[in-house]
Amino acid sequence: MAIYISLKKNEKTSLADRITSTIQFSKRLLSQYNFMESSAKIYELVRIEQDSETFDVEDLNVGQKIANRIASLKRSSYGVVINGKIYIDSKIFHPFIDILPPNRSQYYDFIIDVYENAYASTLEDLNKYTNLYERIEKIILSYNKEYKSNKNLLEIKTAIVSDYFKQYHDIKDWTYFFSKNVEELILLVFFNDKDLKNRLYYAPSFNRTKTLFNFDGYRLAIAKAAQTHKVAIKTGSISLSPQKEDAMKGFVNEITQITKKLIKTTNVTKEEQIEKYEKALKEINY
Amino acid sequence: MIKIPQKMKDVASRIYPLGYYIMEAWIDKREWGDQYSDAKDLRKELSLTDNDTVCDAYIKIKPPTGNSVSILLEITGAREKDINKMLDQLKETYKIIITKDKDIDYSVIHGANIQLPFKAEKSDYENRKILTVLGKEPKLTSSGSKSIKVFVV
Repeated sequence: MAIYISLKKNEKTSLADRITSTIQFSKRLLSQYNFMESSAKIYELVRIEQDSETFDVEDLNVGQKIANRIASLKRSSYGVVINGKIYIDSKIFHPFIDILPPNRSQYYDFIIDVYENAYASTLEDLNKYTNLYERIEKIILSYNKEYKSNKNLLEIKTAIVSDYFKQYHDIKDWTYFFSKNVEELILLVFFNDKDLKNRLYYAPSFNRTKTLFNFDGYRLAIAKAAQTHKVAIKTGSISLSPQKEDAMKGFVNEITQITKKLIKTTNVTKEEQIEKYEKALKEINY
Repeated sequence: MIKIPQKMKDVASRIYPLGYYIMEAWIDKREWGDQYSDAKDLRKELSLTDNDTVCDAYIKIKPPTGNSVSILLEITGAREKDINKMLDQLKETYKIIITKDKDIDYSVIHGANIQLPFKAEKSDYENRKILTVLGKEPKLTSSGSKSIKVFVV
């Protein structure tokens, strides 16, 4: 279980900005727990090599320095790992931040997790000692406000908490979800249901979600579903944090059902569309 | 023979399918429980506290022919783990265990779901001595650096 975060990038986004943003966000998230002894290392694909150069994370220009070093290595498959220590309830934990190599970062830019010790084997276990999910949400919102005043920082687009290897799949498996675009939740629901996917075969899905989301009745239905399944929704941007196990599954299933009902009134599947065409042809005797 | 968890036995028998004898075993008992009473506690032997991060076990086994081999093990439990996270934990333990006059021949990762492309071109293999086998067979990676060799089974 780890936090996966993606940043808002464009063609001009430099690697230095990606690294600086990651370090700034991670430092803010972990600062409450005395993030100490932190250092960054460059790695290629897997972290087998023993003696690579370490960079001081407290240095303000560390992002640029690491990016320059990677540029001098002349290959694109380099990632950066930041290690450190935090203290919670007089226990020590060892978080790490993995800035993915550019060729692996099309979905997520960086991952935050902890190394196993006797108290925690994944990041999720930290929730026993501190309210981590609430803190993640608070820091994302405050970071996203502040990024505007700093040209070197990139905005956080999506953040999810998921098991390893489930981060690309179904939203039902995630235990936390944040997105800057409110419509993304509905898009994820669309993409994870075959029937809905079929019905949107001909429709521009993003526009469709916007129309759907602007319909008050639908928003109320989602809020009601969240209440029954004990999923906390905070809007503006959207942030879902299930209060109990399996709540996300129930919630996503329910909104899938609601969305299906609504979409059936406006969108048809490929087969239904062909049937309609045939019927129309018959009506004019062709 | 010293009793060790089944998953660790699986690894040993995969390395030595003809059989082996366990000469020494240190296990992280916080994770694997106290029922393996013949084995020593890895944290105690390395003078580590609960705060420290450590791999799952150190075992010394002897195959029917040849010399004994010392192995560090990192095994996935109920939850999936990232291979990089497992490698880092092995490296941390390795740094400490060599100060206790233990010579480690191999480090083994068991049960990792490998998401990374473990590709190595021929030149990579020659320069950095990374050997990679892709496909349905067990993935095998060994680093030729002096300090750590890693097998992924």
